[in-house]
Amino acid sequence: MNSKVRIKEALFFLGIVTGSMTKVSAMLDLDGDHASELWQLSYPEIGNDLDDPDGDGVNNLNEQIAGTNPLDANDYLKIENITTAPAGVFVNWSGVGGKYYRIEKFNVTTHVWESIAEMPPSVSSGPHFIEITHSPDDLAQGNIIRLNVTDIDQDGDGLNAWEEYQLGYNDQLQFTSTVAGRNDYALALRRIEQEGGAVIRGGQEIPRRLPTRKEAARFLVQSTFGPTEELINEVTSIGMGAWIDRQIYSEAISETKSIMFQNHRSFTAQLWREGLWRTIFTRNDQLRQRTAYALSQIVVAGFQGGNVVGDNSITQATHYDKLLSRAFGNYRDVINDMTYSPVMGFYLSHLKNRKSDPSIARFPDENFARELMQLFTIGLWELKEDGSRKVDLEGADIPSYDNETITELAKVFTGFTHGTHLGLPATGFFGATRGTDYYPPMKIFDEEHEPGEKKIVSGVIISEDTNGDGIVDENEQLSARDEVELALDTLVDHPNTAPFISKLLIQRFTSSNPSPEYVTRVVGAWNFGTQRGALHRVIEAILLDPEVRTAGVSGDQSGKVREPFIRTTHVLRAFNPTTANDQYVPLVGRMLEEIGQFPSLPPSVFNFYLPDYQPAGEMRLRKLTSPELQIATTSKLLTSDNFFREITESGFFGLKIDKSPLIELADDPDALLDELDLKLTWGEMSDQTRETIKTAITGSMPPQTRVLRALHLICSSPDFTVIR
Amino acid sequence: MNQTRRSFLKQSLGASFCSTSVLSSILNLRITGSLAAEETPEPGYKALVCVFLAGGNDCFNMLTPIEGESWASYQLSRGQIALPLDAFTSLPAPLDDGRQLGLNNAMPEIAGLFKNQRLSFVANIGTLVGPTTKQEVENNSAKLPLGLFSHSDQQKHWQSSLPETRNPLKGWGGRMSQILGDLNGSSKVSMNISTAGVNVFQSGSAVTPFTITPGDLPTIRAWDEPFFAPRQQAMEAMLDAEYRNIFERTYSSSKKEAIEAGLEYKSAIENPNLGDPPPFSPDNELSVQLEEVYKAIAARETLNKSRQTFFVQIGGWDSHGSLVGHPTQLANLSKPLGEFQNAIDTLGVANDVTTFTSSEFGRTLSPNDGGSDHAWGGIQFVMSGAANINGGKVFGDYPDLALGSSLDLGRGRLIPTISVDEYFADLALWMGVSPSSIPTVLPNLSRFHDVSGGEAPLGLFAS
Repeated sequence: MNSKVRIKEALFFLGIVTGSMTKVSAMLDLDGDHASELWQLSYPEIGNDLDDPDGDGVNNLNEQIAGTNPLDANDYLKIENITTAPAGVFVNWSGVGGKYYRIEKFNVTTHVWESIAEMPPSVSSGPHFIEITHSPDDLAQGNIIRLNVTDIDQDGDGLNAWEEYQLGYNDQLQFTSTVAGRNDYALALRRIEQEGGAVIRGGQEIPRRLPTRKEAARFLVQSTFGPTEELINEVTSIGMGAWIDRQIYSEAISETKSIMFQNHRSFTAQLWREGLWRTIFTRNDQLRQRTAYALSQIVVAGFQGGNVVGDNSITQATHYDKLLSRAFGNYRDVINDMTYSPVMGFYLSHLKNRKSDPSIARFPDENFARELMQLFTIGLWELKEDGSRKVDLEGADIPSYDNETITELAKVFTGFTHGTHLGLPATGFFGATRGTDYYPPMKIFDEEHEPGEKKIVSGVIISEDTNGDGIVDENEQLSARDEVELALDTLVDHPNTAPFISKLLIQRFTSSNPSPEYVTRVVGAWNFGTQRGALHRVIEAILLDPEVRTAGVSGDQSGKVREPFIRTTHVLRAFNPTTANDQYVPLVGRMLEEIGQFPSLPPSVFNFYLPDYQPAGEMRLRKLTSPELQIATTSKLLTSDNFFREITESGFFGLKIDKSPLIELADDPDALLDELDLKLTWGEMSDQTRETIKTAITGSMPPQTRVLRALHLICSSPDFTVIR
Repeated sequence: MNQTRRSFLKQSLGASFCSTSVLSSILNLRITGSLAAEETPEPGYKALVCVFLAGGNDCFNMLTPIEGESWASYQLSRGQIALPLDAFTSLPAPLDDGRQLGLNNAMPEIAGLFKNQRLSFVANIGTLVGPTTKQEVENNSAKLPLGLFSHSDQQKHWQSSLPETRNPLKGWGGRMSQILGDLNGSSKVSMNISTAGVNVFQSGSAVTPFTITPGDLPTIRAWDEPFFAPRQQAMEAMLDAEYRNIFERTYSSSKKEAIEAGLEYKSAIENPNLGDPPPFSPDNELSVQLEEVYKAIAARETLNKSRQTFFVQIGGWDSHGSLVGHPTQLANLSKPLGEFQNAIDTLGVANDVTTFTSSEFGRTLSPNDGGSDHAWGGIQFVMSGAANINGGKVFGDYPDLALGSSLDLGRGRLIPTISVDEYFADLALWMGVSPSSIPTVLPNLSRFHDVSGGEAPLGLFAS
């Protein structure tokens, strides 16, 4: 009796206490103000601030965190009553569905609030209670408890439980809808973008929310070769989700092979590069192009000159067009096309790879087998779904395969040669080849294919004895092609491939150091349903993720250094580029020399940079990667600065940007900087950079000088170089 | 007691440098003997030039036994990629065991340097965790370098000398420069210069090489022109500003360093007193890089350098598809090295500059049709002035090329009998790293050689 009274007297309710969220990135927060867009759309006039328009003593910020109505004086988080029973104490309050509540006790010794009881999100609003099962005596030791409310994302899909509750989703499932293969975050984002707006809990209609011009520009920086006025208008009028759909479903496949002939120049070894360059500037299938370019940096086959590939534009176009046509297809198909591409066969030397001949000590070439595993599918280490490495009992990383596996897998890729000979169907493994033989996919000839068992990864043994009865009978004819199929299936289905390739793709689009949660979400899209590895889902999951749609959400390690090639196309695309005589001619040699990049011309199969490159200094100490900084060498940092100055001043070999709208703005430095900020730094130019550039363009000078100086300085700024 | 160590000591004590690394070297030396009392010469100048053959040189078609049973083994093992006897020029003398080696005819300059005792080969060298036998490999008791036979891993191991990590953050050159860097005067230009981009060899925890593009001095155009002043000020302000994002911070600090170092480097290289460089082949990928190395060595005094390392690289060695182009590759290696050595001789520092090759692995003796695959042990070479180097020799045991030999792991993948640690220890000692500091540079050396007495593992240099 005494103790009960003592408890009751001791309880001290502090009102709403707002703890930190369980996962900072788990929220549909597109403007980065730490409030869910669903709450903001429900109360369009209310800011996420310290005002208290309903006068209930709880400010808007805390009403937002608690999920209560900022315009209703009776709706705020409060403990209704506390009842005591022999077993403990009941704390009762009116709760909101999807919010996560905890009773915390103040430890008078350590001065820390300790959680003593919690209530996971419930699927309805209304009376909530927690029974504190501690004995009254225990409780009596302390003297202050409080009720804490936060958001929580139990399934890790990036949408918190309150948002899922509002939309009728399930916070135990990343994919509430099993139809689209979109996780709940992407579904929610698309729902608020859709025409007519969304309907939320209680039948309330909330207005449609389309991206702002800055949000659209930022999204396009991640998904295209550079935002244009036209693209910004498109995304602000239909939304990011619908734009992705248009890219995936509506656009015709862009083929550099057909585009390259539009340059009306005589056929040269440079023609494909010109075709690609034209494609980047004239075609709207930008997401497809960005994806193909990203893939070309993962399944690398270089087009260096001076050989049957480097000297033949049609061969190059045929190969690159496979990446374009498969960009939104299945990764298995990408690997298939690359395996049979004669360009890959030439680059990694499985073209005309012959079976063993022990009598003259000849063995299959191992080049393709090795890189197919190390770089194109499973990688060197056993991985978890979140992209981190598995470890053995001693804490050591576990290799995915050993050299024996490579030797075995190499046997599978024997017997490949040209699919045609002198324009006719191929008739045999041998025979002279000419340039046109590099157009069609390779063909396998059984007589040069290694017979016998091949023990590859995942414990798979490729054997002609398909039913495993120890006898190879007549109907057990595993063709060479079947063996290749089985090997490729095994590799693409290996549990490593989804996290390994997903992480590499994330690095190409949005983020050098994605969190394990982000990787897991993308891997979830990869593994969704029966069509595993569907790239259109993977690319959408990469772009529509809370970790990249809310700027700077991963703290000071958010984002990435943008590739110099994409920075180049960005600045040229931003201001209505025009060309002389409708010709698009990139100076490839200069780009390789001065910025270190041109598509399909990396120095080796290891691409332009390594995915785990850690720059010296702070990043190395913190084990953070920045692949692109590997080519930001002393010399390239300076030559690229000169390069950007030159292309903004004089254009790039006939390709000129239209500076007249900028010159019209030049008398008003603020207006000029607003426009440049939107087009080049997606509205995120820092105040200090802006002030610095403003100082440099203030004073008496011709408008042209003002514009050129501002363009050069922005291209030189960290703000333009890095997307946060 | 070798000269280098004494000179290092005097410089360290005489000039009262205070960095931890130098002090600890001194203390260690004092413990091992009363070396500080000995007379010591001036520190002088030393430079190390690493020529990296990226892709894995098929070295057994470069330096080959050309007589008797060994020649027969070569022909048998290499099958269709074996070269004819007339593709080789006999070395002046046979090996101690009587085997006669021949050098590929595509390398007349290298042959000449060898004959003049200015160049030596190191045979059957590769990355090793410890001394390794075939039996240990076969019964899985051997600790092996991670990612054996893989380009990216073996390049990292060759440049870091840390074969048990797949993500080395420091190279042995980078670690060496942490010790020797104090011998250099003040300068924004790193003692480590690369013409082939960022590399592991020259990376330390806070060290990144100064990279240059051949033929292009690293500067921002018009930087010092009066009209550029507002831009210069704005760029400096942007690079000096504080950034919350780590990519922005890292980018701006590297760019700031690049601008400052670039300006200093340009003025040093353009010093009219340096005169015109001797001829280098303008169309050879390696020549143009070595010309830059020559210029940086010529400008060493203006750059305040008594120690420098250089990294140059040529690719094209990954001869899976065919070895037809291999002699051309060798010629394109030999000619520029000849040009470079001639140019260095004109500077009067022939004995102060040592050039050495590295390549991630040797290649399988057995062909895959017309090409060869990744293997392990290989052959490298070192060149310098005749008074400096023990030239005209083949260090290490040239391996038996018969398939199934006691070193053959299959297809003629040969277990190295010399570790890269041993090779690099000779080079590091020559550069002036004290024996007591060698473990900092090459932590695994003690598994192969005890350097505490000051004796170099291979003895590449004249003492």
